Amino acid sequence: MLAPILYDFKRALLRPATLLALLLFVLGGAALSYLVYGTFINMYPQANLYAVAVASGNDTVAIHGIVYDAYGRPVDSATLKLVGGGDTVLAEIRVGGIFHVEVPLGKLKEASKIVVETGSGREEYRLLGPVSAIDKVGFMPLGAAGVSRSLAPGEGGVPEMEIAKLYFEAKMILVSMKSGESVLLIRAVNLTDPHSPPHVVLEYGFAEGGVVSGPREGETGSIHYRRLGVLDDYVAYYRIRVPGNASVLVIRYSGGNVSGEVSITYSFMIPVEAAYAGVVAGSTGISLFAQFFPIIFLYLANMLMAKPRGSGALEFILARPVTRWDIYVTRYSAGALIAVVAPLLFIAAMMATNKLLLGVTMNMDDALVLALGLMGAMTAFYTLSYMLAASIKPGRYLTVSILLYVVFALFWSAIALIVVMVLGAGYSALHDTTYAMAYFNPLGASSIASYLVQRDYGAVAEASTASPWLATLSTLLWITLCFTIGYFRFRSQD
Amino acid sequence: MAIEFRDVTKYFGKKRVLENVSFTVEKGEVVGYVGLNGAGKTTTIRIGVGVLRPSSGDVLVEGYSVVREKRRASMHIGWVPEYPIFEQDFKALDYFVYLAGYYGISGGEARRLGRRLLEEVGLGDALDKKLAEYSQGMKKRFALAVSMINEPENYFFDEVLNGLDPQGIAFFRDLVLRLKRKGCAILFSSHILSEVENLADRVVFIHRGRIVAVHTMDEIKGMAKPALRIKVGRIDEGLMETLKSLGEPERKGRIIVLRNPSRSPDEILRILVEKGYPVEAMAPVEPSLEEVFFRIIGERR
Repeated sequence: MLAPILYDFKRALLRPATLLALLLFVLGGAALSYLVYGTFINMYPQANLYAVAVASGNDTVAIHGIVYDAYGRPVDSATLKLVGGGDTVLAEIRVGGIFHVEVPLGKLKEASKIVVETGSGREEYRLLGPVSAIDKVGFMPLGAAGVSRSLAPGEGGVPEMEIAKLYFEAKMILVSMKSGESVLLIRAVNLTDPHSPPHVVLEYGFAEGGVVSGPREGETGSIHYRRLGVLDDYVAYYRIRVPGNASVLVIRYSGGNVSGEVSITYSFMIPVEAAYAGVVAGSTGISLFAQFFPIIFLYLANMLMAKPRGSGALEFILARPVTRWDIYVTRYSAGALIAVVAPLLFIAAMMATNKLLLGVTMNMDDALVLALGLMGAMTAFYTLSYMLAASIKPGRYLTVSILLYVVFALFWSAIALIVVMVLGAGYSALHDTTYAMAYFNPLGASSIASYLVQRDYGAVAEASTASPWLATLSTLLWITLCFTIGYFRFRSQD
Repeated sequence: MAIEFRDVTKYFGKKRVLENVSFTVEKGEVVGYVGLNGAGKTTTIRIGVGVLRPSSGDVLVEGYSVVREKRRASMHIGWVPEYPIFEQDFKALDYFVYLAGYYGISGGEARRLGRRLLEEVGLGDALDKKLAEYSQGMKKRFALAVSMINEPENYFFDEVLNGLDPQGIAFFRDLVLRLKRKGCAILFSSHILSEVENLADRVVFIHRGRIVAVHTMDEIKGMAKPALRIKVGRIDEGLMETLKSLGEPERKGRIIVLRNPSRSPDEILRILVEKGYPVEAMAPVEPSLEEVFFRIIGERR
């Protein structure tokens, strides 16, 4: 009997409607990726420049900098454009990683902005002061062209200038609060001789919350400093790990006759991966798609069971050497396997496109949790639809299943709100109630999975009612009960 | 025996549509299944092929119960329903291959077999047509081809002549005879009683869900009352009164059928001529299944 079952599955899988469903999932994954990209790059631009312009004489200015992506990684290949009025490109320079380039002073004066372009992004920068000031103070840092850019998350650090000795600034990008992975960017100019790069020893340490500027020199207190390296360039890039129990990073520099420190309060930063996970797993990400994907399974149940059952076509098949059980199982399996494969395709497409667009993607654990949640939700909803397709009057299938879809996929949050109001539990109970009610919804596994991923990154408030075990149990119950009820009703029909 | 219905009873809800239906079809035998519309013919056949479960009783095909050993029993069954319904979005040959998969026939072999059988039933030029585009007659031919997928020894044909053109009817008649010669058991229901008469060795009569009689064709012929078909130039009250004294006259236009005549045809002719009626033609009527059928049904009314 295996061959016919496999054949039936293959037949169901290779139907245009099924292939279209799978394609929709893949496109959904790619679409989600674009959604993530669009939201994420507003918080973490893909093409970033951390640079300083230094007077180099002979009507030229040296720009020392680094081009990096949202995760703080140096970008190997980027283009720096000096753009004048009317978006005229005055000069175009290829740069990569930490770079040092000379630009004509005249062009820089003419330029209204400096555009950085990488394979995955484009951002605009400008000198943080007039070009003429370069001659006076010997240097000028570059900053984001828009106000919002200068307030972008991760733009930490308090510039501290030892007047006439050293300009020193640090910026930290908190990649992951879980692992503590962070990137530290430093730009510095030896003000006594801007033509020569600075030469200082860097150390770093961490302070507890509440410390705003770090301990004063000689008051190291409880801060344990570690050597970061020797800064002998205008721009430097370091990878460090920040502890979760501290909240302030203090960087100390010393060398020659200069010394000082800057502190960066990182506890308020949204880690890059949390922002990413929040968008992927949040209400504008997977949850949005999880609301609409059930329509495909509603359709599949109609195509595989309700329609042939209603037309009487199943009877002709039943005259073959098969039992009702065989027909019920093979047709169910065809849809259920799609409910398993489709979310995998969706997540894989989303991850691949993210990698392409953002250069990063989800870690496998989170991807697995989201995929399992989606699989569980889609399988449970498909089983519910299939049960209806196999048991109620075929003419009523679409009406009833669409009604259930509307209730479970679209109005469930509103129903949770009504429950909270009826119980008089107050708005504060809505969060917990929403997750408690997820167990009574075949699509609940998806919202619990989204919650778990977001919670892992601190992107959502803790909910005492959200449990992966209960979500698994509830999904299994939905699947088992609907499958069994559907079969017994299907078996007993004439 | 090849097919055996054992005390099959079927309820649809509270309505009993079959009551203790029992009969057999032997190997190499063609059994006609006759009854009025709604008598239970299609229900009996649907139970026989295993697509409908009996409320009680069983059907054995080659000794396998269609209730308990459905897969095995179905391996020995070919079925052509009165109104075959398929999944419409398939092309004929593809659907044939799909259905052949249930018999464990591989794709390539099924495709070759499909071409051969579909050509055999006259669908050779419609292999790649969608089933939705098939006429009722074409669907029947398709179902007939499918029923022969695994060369079963037992066939259930439900009103198979319905919707067939004369060519299709002839094809089916030949097929039945061919299958019979091969030793297959064939149960077929039909409201075209003349076809049943032509093909059946035995006839099972069903009325209101109950088997009311089972007779061989020879028995049926024996049971049929003799009758004379008389064409008279002038029909009036006197003629009818005269004929009533000679049998059971029934006027059909200008023809009078005289059933159960009490005299020989020669004597009847002589009496009519003596009474001045111009007899234009007189011939014996062949014994008819229809007559027996209605008599049996009538007896049970």
